[in-house]
Amino acid sequence: MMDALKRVCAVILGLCAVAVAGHYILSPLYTDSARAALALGYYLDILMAVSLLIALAFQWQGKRAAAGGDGGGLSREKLAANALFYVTLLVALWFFRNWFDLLTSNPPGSQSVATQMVWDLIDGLLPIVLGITAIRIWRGDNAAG
Amino acid sequence: MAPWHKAAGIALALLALAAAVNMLAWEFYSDIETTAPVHLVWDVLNGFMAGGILIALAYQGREKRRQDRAGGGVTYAYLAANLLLLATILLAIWFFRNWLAGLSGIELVERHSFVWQLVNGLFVVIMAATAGRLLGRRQPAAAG
Repeated sequence: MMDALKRVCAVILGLCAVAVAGHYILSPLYTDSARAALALGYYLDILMAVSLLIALAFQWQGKRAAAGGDGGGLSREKLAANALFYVTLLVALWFFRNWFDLLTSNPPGSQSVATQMVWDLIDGLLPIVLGITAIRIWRGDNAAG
Repeated sequence: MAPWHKAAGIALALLALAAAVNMLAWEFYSDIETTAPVHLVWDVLNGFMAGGILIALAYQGREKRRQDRAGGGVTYAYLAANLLLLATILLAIWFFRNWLAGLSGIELVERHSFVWQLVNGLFVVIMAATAGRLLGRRQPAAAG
């Protein structure tokens, strides 16, 4: 049962990673339909928020598991678990700040240039951290919970 | 050294050099009043940069798998293989998004310029490092 749930989470994270990367790279091709792009972005943001929380939960579990592994030494598992967790935490902080700013923006969708630049950082990093987390959960790696 | 390693290494080194020179020189010649289409330099270079990124991704993906299979502890080769691959994936996402935006004729705004700055700097460093590995200067051993 738990394995099935983990697989479902891995699929959600994997799909989110592909969707965000695909939307980010290909969005210049459909800017003519700005309303459609905005609507797609709205639903994608909700998926990103849920995925980031799932990823952080698994990564926190994995980080704790890796910490108890080999005493004070640095193993590949420990390094990967910690690096993944802290980079995802940074992306999550940027994302939620930007998302809340977007939701409260007036007129809707108007954000400062600095905020838009941070979206570029998020859209580049998020597919990588979610993609790696999805693969680790799917494989049942120790550091992915 | 395999012949394709040498050819790819030389190509990536030349691309890194071309991108670095144009990135710096651009600030001097882009403002000169001329009828010459100076933007063509970046347009042509971007096509080659796309190819360079794909070559680097293919090589680094293979290197990462090799390190994963070899197992062992945290070594320089393990760190380098993983960091280079992840940095190149990030570079690819940013590059292809901005490149498509340019090809689609979208007006270059401050946000795009910011990403181009990131892309150009990252591109030079990553291509130079990958070229060095391909040419054997820092060929990682199987287990570090």
